[in-house]
Amino acid sequence: MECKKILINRKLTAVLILLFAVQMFVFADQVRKNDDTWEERTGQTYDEYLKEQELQHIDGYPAKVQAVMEQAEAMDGISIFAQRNSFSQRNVAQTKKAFEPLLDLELAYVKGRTVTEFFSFRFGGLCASVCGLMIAFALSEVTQKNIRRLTYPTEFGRLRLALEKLCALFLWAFAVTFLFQAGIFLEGLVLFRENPLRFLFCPAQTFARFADFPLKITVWQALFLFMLYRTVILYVIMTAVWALALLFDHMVLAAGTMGGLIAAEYFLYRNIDGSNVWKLFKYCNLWYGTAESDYFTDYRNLNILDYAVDRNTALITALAGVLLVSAAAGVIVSCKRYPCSSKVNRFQSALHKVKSGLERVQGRFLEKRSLTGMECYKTLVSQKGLAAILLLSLLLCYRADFTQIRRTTQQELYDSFMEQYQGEPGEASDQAVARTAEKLEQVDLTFAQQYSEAADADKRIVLSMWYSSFEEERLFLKQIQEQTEYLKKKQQESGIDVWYVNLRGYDHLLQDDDAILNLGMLIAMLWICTAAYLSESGSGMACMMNSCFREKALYRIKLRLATLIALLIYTAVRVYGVLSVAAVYGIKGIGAPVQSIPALSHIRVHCTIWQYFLLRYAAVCLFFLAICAGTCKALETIICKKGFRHGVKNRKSV
Amino acid sequence: MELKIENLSKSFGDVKALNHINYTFTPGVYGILGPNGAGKSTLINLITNNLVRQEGRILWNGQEILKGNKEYRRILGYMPQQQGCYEDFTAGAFLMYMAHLKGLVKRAAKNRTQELLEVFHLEQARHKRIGGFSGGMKQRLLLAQALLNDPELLILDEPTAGVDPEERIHIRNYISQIATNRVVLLATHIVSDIEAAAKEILIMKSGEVAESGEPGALIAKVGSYVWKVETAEADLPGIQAEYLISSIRKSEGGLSLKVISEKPPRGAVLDHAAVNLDDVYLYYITYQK
Repeated sequence: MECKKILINRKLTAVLILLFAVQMFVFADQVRKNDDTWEERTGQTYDEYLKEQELQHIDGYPAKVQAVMEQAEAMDGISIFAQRNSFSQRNVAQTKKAFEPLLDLELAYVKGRTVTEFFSFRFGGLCASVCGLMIAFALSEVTQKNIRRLTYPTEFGRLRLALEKLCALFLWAFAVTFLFQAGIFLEGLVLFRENPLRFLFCPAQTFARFADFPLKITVWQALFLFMLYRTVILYVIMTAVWALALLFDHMVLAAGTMGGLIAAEYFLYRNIDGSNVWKLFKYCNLWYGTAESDYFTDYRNLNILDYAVDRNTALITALAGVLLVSAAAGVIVSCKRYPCSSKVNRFQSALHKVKSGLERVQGRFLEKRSLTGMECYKTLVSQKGLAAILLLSLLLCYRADFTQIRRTTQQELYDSFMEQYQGEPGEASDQAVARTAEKLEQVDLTFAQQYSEAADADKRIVLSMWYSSFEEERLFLKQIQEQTEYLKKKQQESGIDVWYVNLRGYDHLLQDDDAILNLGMLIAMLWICTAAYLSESGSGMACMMNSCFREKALYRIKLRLATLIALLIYTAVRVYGVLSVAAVYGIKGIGAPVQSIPALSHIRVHCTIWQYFLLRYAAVCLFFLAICAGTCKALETIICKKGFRHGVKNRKSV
Repeated sequence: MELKIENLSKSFGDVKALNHINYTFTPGVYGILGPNGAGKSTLINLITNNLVRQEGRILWNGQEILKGNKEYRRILGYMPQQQGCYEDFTAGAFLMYMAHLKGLVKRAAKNRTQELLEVFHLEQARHKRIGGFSGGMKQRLLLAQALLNDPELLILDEPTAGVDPEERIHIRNYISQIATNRVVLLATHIVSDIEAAAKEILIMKSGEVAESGEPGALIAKVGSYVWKVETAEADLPGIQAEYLISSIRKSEGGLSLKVISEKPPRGAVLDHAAVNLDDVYLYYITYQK
């Protein structure tokens, strides 16, 4: 029954599905970006690179394990390990013991990028944890005090309910972990077109990710063990949240405390050095367990009172402690607390005073507002539209890239050329290109001549190094020649006076590849649209509204408000995009004809670059606004007109 | 001022919720009684134009309400059965919001809000969030919103459910007081609310009006079917199986029962008992087809 409560909670189920979809999308996006970036940087596909890495790992693995054994044998001769019963000595001995079974391990290459990417993807763990937090809050039933009033007078009801909730928390921890992790794994199999049977039964160490993994198990066993680990970690988080909610008996206080704890754990995780004596706090940390997967795949011993304790053992022991304390606190509070008054919660009366004051201010403020103002309040405050905007702002800050990137010589040369010769190609720019070409020709000639005359190998190496130092200049020349050729051809073909413009910034603007930001923007917009109508979904409200004189005006206001906020969101995100590109790459020559950008050579309309971008953004904006308006209209019909009575048709159809 | 219903029907799938209802309402309070599923809320939703009707007409002062929809909504005040409110709003803000929706100008909205908060003893809660209100307070607030536009047609669905006795009497009296120049339809399960205030009563059963009329006339009609029976405790199960009993009281000789039956019941029948609307309701719901 306790498990079912979550399933029938439509809002929670919707968030679960949404987070699942987001993590799937982020995973696919991350893979695509990895591939593109790698290929762009090295000219080699990421798959080829991974294969090289895996082959290197497999070749070197027996030697690596052997080295661990040899180091352990030789440790007596090294002064820092000589001291008996010290952490260093125990650490080496324990490492040897852990890796000993792997001496006879025979590894062969199999393609299994899914496994590598699965263990590198951290976002899934965070999504699952957010779901866990929400489920735990829902199961605490802090806001449904009547349930406690019903269970309190029963003989074993309170204890039974508390234990049932603990079981439900575990089942949900398992279900959420399995759902999120399995989703990623299956997506990986589809994306990389891999047959799982080829690698699931191989030793885990087949993959470089498991180079430091000491257990002699197969890949599927490792995957299962990992899921189990994650389930335990999530269960501990959920139980802690559940206990906190019960202890405070107040959603905001519990959520605030949990937020503080998460922030503290993140701080510890980020700021404690791995070699510091405080590393116990770094590694026995819920944030670490949630966000990282190297606690599972890597081997490391922690120094606890000079004993070498395996990091996994330390983490699980610490978690078991938190679990026991949380579960006990939850059960005790559930059984002992009176439903109507709480001695545990000392904040209630102070909070009540603050709350009353705030309500008075809020009431006075609202009473003075017009219908539009009140609708705005409902959408942004009552239905948490502001939260969507805040989350989007956080996402913007997270993706912010206003720092100056390190430029290559080629890019520096290109930037300085554009700085000097921006505008229509002319004699001066042609001469500059010709001078560079001439200089590089001279370099080629000199190199060819001196290389053939060089007597010894050393001189030839020096000459080669000198020659390759002009590589970046050659790339620049090639780039500028291509651009010049394009401009001249375009001028001849269409008669448009195209310009030299710095393409680096415009290429970034055109890519518009920040899929996460776009997705975040769309989610925020749809959230706002839904928020504008959600308050009417309460039973009875829509009936009252529909019997009011200004019913149609209200729906018009809702539609206008939702699309206006969506428009503001879109504008803010785009302005941010343009500003960040301008700050990093510079956007110059916006008055040039749009055909000056090779990627936009197909545009037939005569307009400048800024006009083109303005139109482009306006078109996308209209598309987004159309989606918002459509959503609003659909919600108006479903929530306000059709859905408030079972099986009711739109009354306008009479 | 007249609300006329002609041949009104509504079905939900195979279930006939309303079956060819005809009635005319003039100023005064009309009580609509009936068990769950009798069609009270369906009738109200059709009159408030929240439901699509399949057949029939609803006329306000001779005009089909669908044609003069906007004007009709100007004179309509409706309090739904469900206590849906914006939990995040304060009582004052909620009434102001509804006043704006009902087309009141700001000054009038402010004055009317103040007046109704006082009438329904909610002025202390003006700046409190509705989420913290008791069921009775929410009910009074919903009633207040229905009266914001001083409606000519006031429709109240279970207005006193969850309200304490003192407030119930107060609300009942207020409704009677304002009903002189408007049509008030009051659907409820609490028979005593109607008994005191209703000009006419409609008893609904299975989507039809089983009986209607003034409370006195209905009581008089049923008067001859209500009997006072004295019996021993041991005979009670037998009588219960055979007759409809509206009340059981302990008496010196055993039990004193109020039995509703068209024929005199077996046993020691003393006399016709004093009849109230509960007996009328039970009679029509149980015996009348």
